[in-house]
Amino acid sequence: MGTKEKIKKNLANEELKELFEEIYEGFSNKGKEGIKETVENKVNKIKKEFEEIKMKIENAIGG
Amino acid sequence: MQLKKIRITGFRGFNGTQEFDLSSPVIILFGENGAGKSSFLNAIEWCLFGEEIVGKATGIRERVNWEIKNRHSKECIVELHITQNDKKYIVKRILKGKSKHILSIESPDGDTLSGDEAYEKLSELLHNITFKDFMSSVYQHQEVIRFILTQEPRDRNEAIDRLLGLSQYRNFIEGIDLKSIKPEKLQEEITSLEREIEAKVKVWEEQIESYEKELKEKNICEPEICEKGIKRMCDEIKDKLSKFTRELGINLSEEFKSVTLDNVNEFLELGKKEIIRLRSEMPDIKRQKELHEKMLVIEKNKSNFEKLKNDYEDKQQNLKNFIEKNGNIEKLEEKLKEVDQNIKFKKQERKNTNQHGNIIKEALDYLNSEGVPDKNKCPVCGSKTDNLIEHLDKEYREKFERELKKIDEEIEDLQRKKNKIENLIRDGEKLQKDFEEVKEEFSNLQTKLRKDLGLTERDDVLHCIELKKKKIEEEINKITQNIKEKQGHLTQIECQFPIIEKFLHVIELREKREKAREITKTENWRKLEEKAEGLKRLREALENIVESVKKTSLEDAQNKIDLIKQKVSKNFKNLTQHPLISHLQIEVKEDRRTGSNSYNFQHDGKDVTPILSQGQLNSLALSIFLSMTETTDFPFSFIMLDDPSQSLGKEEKEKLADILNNISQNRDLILSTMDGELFQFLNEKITKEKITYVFEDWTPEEGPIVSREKNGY
Repeated sequence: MGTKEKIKKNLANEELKELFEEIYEGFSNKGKEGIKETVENKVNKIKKEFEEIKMKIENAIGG
Repeated sequence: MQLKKIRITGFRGFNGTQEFDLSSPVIILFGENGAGKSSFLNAIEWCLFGEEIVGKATGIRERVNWEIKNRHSKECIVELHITQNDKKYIVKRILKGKSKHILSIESPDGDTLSGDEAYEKLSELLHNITFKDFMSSVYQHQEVIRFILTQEPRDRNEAIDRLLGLSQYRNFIEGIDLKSIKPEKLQEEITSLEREIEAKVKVWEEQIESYEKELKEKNICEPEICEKGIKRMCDEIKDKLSKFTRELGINLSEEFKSVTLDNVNEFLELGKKEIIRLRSEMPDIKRQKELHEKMLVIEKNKSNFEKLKNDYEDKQQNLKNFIEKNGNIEKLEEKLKEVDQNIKFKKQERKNTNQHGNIIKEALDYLNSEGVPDKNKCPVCGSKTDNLIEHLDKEYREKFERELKKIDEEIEDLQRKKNKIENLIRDGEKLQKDFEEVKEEFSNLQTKLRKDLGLTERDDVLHCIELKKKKIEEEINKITQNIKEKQGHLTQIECQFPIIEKFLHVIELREKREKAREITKTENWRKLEEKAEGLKRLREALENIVESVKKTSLEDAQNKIDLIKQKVSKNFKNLTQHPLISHLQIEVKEDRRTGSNSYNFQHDGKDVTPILSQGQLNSLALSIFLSMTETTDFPFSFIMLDDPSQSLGKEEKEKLADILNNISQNRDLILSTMDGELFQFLNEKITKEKITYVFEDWTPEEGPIVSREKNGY
């Protein structure tokens, strides 16, 4: 059993397994940097959407 | 992965091109330091890992400021022939310039991969292992062994993880940087936004209150402050301006006429423009301007008239004074004529007197000349007189000279008198001329003004001008009053604009306030909270994954240690023959501080590393390294050892050769050594087919001078 399968076996639910799959894909492509990139992309996506909504709210209220 | 052949051109110690067969199970590089053995091993590393093998990040001191290309060579190329699952690949790396790496891979089907494709393929061939993993699990390098020998637990644990092939777990733990994910920041931003909105609402409420107060002071009650109220006021303005323009007989602009009350801001803008236009274009303004222009002309005429009149009177008086004092020009000319006559007369008198005198003078000259027979006989009348010369001389001096002098003085007096009269005539003529000129000019102006003002010859021009001026002044005063009243009317209308603007402000602020108060109930607010919650959940999920990775890593480490611990103990015992350590125990547990794996080497429950010599620590590292290569899941079919016998005694070297012979049964070996004892033991003990490359010498021009021996030296 490879590293990926060993780790997945210890993950509690499908959601975590899916997330780990994404991270592992990043690792397969670019090694440790790929892991960082995958996580950063996910975090940045949420932050970007958060900022966009925040901007919409600020614009709606006005100065 | 198996290595089959390497071709090195211009890499490090290699100048020119050399090719080495790597197809035997055991390759031994033997030679003194500086002969090119390390360059050979480095060429394999560089071909597989490129720029990763250079610099501070490698953790190898000598790799800082390392030069890849041989200084005497034009190019730097390493070509490595490998097999993977019985398929042949040729990995080729070229260094262009100082740091540009060009990688290409020739695949079994003959295609050549380059760029990203080549890097992806190489990563696959290397089972995604990093250079650091390679340096600890495939290539036993003294600098890396150093980390296992170190007393610093963290470095040692990491190095053993790498030896055990567990570095992937570390990659996940380090790659998932939980510290950089801060979901609480988003929650803080939401709280901050809420506070910001509350502050804004407070400011708007204060502004609304202030505007309402101002409007109340203008007798506008709160219920009127609504859209209806604004429209009503705009309607009123439009009506008032219509009425105003009707009364003046002018029209409202088409633009303002057509503006609707639906766009209040446009209405206000056009209304303001309309009032500015009416202020400047109302008929009274035009009339006022005309009157002012007329007034200017009258004042100018009056001023000119007065000036000319004064001038005329002054010049008339001057002429009169002159005549009274000197007489008129005719009289002066008569005087001049008289003086001229007198001068003429005096000049004749002088001439006559002078003629008589000249005769005497000529007579004297004659008498005084030589050869005159009788000096007492008059040459003119012939009469004889004693002492005639003295007598005539005396007469000439006393009578003629005195008389002529007197006549000359009289002529000079008369001449002065004449000059004076001539000057007076000139002055008089000039006064006369000036007077005539101003008289004509004044007469012309009078004629013009009489004509302009419709006056007869009998009217007093100046008085009539004054009357006209007064009339215009009265009209100007009247029209100015009218304008003031009309401007006042427009100002009254204009005063409504700021009130409407305040209405608008209040309504806008109320709308904003209501919108802000309701914002936390909107869909966007819910989404914002959802995003903050999403990041929190992501962080929790990543924490779970990291925990699972740590747990799996520990389980894997325990399994692997269980698998190799007997071999490690045996290899260590064989290598060192340590009298106090009959059986080496290896314990692995979780480091509570870092969550990573922690390895302890014990004998009878006590840590043995503090009592081990450098050679024994080296033997321990070699024991782990070599035991791992004997496990089934080791990803490469070869291992590389660089000078493994450092700090080892003769017996330990012999034992090491035994162990390497055992390993060579299952793994290919590439071993570099300068140690003659080890080399001898290897030749004796290794039973597998081997190629020995003897690095005999090295010159800058030729690079390593290598001879090849097969199956023993």
